[in-house]
Amino acid sequence: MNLNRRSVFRVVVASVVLVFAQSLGVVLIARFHLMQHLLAPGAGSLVAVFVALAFLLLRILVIVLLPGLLAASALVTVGRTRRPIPGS
Amino acid sequence: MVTHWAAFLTTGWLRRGVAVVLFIAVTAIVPRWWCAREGERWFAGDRALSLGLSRTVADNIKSGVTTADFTSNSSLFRHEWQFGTYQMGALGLLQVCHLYPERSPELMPAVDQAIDRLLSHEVRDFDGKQWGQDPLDAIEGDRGHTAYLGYLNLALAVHRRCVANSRFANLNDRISAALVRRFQANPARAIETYPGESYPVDIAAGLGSLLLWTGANDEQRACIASALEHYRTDWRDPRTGLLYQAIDTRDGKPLDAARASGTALAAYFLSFGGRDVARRLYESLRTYTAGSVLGFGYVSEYPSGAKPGKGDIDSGPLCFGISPSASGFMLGTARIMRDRDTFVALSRSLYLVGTPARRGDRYEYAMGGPLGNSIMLAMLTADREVP
Repeated sequence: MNLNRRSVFRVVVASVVLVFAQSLGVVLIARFHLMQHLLAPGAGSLVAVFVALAFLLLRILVIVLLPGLLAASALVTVGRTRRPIPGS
Repeated sequence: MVTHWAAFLTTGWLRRGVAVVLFIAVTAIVPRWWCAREGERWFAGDRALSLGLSRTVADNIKSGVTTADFTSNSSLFRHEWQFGTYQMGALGLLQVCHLYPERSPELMPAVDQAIDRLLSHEVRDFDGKQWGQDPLDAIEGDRGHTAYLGYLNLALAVHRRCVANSRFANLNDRISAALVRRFQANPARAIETYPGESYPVDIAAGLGSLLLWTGANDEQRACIASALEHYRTDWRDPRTGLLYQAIDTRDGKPLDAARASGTALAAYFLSFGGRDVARRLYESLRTYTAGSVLGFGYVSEYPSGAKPGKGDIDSGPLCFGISPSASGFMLGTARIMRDRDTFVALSRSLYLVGTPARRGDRYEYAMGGPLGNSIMLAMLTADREVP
């Protein structure tokens, strides 16, 4: 049971961290105008393009993939929780 | 029943299989729903979103946009984008003033400021450098400066429709007559952006302004109609109906492929009075370039079945052939044509990649920068009811 609780806790914490990082990223990216380098990169755009691409991948992970990952991992965890104790 | 399901889920490989199916199902449903929420609101003409983005664009205009705000290495493109930020910003704000007339006192000063900036030496100089002559000094001639005069005149024409006794009415009349004179002087109607360079999308901006011009005489009206006819016939690829990106100044023959970015923006410009032509272009875009993955819409720069190209500054950087410019421009025409499904699909991608951000009562797209936000305001508030 402890193992299950721990794995659920890990998944939830990881999700919260990713969502928080994405939200913070939106603020910083908007503040420092980094993403427009993706549309029209110039000579000094290398770092900005790298940061913007990393942020975009994080955003896609959080919005597109995370809900499904959470649901699937919740199902796996629930299944483990319901596993009958051997010999009971 | 519950016990049955519990037993089923405790079987390891079955549990993993169901988890994979659940992952796919949730991924197909939740992001599609989440990212469509604002698109539905934009399509319905949401007041808070429209005013939020309008305030961001108005702030950009009031604080002044310089070439240092853009990242391209090309001085010409940076100056064109500075010009485009004011022009699209003025159009977008005028559309919002038309939708919400009670907000005009707040937004109209920024419109006037944008047009004043369009008329300034600093902003119009990029065109003058290409021609070796200032575009406003060249109004009385019969050649060139099409992009500057055309884009500017569209903003002036819409301003005139929104503001009684517009202070730009006289200039609008002069530029309209100048554009017609250029069409009359070129039998192919392929009037020039820069010396020897003609682009249907730039010509469409001028033509859109002329379709709103009420001061034309019969001869001028016939000339405008004959120029518009090229957007139904020979400036379109016969297979797809998309517009050629560049044409020969002398005979109007294609010099570049038929592409989505030019077609989508031209459809928006021509919707100001040329709804039938705009609809034809839109149908071509929808049939040959639009698609979606998991409900996230996109527009390819090159039509299906055509040889893919590398794109350029007009299309933006292509990723799997998808054009950021064309995808953004098509939002405007999709809204004008009341194509809800296409609009919402494209708006999902805009939400995901464009990265909307809020600051108080301001709303912006982090990816856009000043030009992108001006363009998105114009596209997301484009309306069937022409101002």
